Amino acid sequence: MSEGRTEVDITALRSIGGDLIKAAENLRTDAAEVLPGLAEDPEARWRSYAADERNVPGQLVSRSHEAAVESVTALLGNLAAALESLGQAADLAATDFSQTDSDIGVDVDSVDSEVVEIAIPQNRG
Amino acid sequence: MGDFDRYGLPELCEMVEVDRPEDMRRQSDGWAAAADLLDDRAAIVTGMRARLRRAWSGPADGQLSALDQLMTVLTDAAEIARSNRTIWYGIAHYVDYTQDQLADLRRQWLVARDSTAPPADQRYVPDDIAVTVGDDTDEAYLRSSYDQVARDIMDAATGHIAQLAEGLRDMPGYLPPQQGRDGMILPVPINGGASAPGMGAPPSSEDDPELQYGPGNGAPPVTGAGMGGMNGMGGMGSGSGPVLSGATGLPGSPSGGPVVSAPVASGGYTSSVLGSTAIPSPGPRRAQYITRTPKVSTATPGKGVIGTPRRSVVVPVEYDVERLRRREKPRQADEDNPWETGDPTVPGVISGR
Repeated sequence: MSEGRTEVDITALRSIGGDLIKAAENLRTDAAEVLPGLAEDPEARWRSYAADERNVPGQLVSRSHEAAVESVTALLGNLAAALESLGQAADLAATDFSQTDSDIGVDVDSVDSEVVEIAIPQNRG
Repeated sequence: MGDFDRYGLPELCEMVEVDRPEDMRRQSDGWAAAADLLDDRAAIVTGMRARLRRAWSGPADGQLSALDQLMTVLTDAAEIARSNRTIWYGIAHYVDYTQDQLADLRRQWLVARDSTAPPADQRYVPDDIAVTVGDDTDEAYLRSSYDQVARDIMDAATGHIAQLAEGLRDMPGYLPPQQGRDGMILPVPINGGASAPGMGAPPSSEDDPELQYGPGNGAPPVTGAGMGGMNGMGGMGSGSGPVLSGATGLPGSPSGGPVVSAPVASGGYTSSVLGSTAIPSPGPRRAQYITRTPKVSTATPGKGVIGTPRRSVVVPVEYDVERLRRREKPRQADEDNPWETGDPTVPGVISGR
């Protein structure tokens, strides 16, 4: 454990946290608009390519495409979750820094303008 | 053995008729939208990271590396989405092309079939001669050449499609970072990712000259002589199947046969592959066997082997017969092989005395 000095702009950190959470929401909204364009038409009775079972090579290609569509659906979900998680983490960190937590040895030099210069152990968590 | 060897023209037409290239193009546009979305989010995350760096100078390694990871995933995913868009668009083009080719071939076949077996009211039957036209013709036999060309079209197009589809890639695996109870971020290793082992570089449209697309060049023009041997009325020759000998044949098609000209209305896709005038055959060429040894002439007509004029000798028949009569008596035959006299057999001796 080494001691290091850090300067945290708590207001900016809170803002970043809020923006990250908002970005997660926007990503979910936008993904909901984009993903149907990638997927098969829900009103279509067949897939767009190689719906005929006799077209064996084409079916392999269709399955590759469907797997790719599934992967981007999963990825966008995970990216939104990541943005949300990072936003919450930034918010929590801002809250954490705004408190004078003696347990972790925070040395508050100044609290003016919510700019806190602190010394915290490295490699926390 | 090809994937479509069991099927003929009608079955192959049924197979491709259910494909919807227009929907595939919509899907490829969806990939482009996904790429834009991912690019946009990558820009947002880049901005967030810069703001975080400014707001938090010091040990913010967890958050920063989580954002770095996020940017890497977003950037790679956008590239894959763009690549998938290009590939799926190309596949849609080949699907469109195949549909047009097979539809043209079927039209040619129907014309040819009708000319061979015209409807009863259009047949010319002389009053005093009983003629049967077409009724006994085996349609499958007549169609066999068309079936083969249809299979060649399918094999060639499917070969290209399969080759393109090898570039279709899944998105990088990614798990959201875990959050410590004090708000610190615990980075999670990226699972797989765009640069995962075994995954090749994404074929971007800029890198791969075969996947360029642009406005207006449309489809590969495959032009040919049409139905060789068919006159304007669709004559079928002597009934030995479609007259295809005059046709140039599908380029790369081992069977040759009718050539179809199919303008594809897909538009917007140009590539060195698609721009070629031929669908190259994906498989090896069929072996050709020489079943007859060609004649080798060592002499020019009218001359001997050494080039001197050959003099014809005319021998009167009477003279020849007289000479044979005066020939020596055959020697005593060998006791073991009494039929071998040692003299060459002379034509005409048997009929003589």
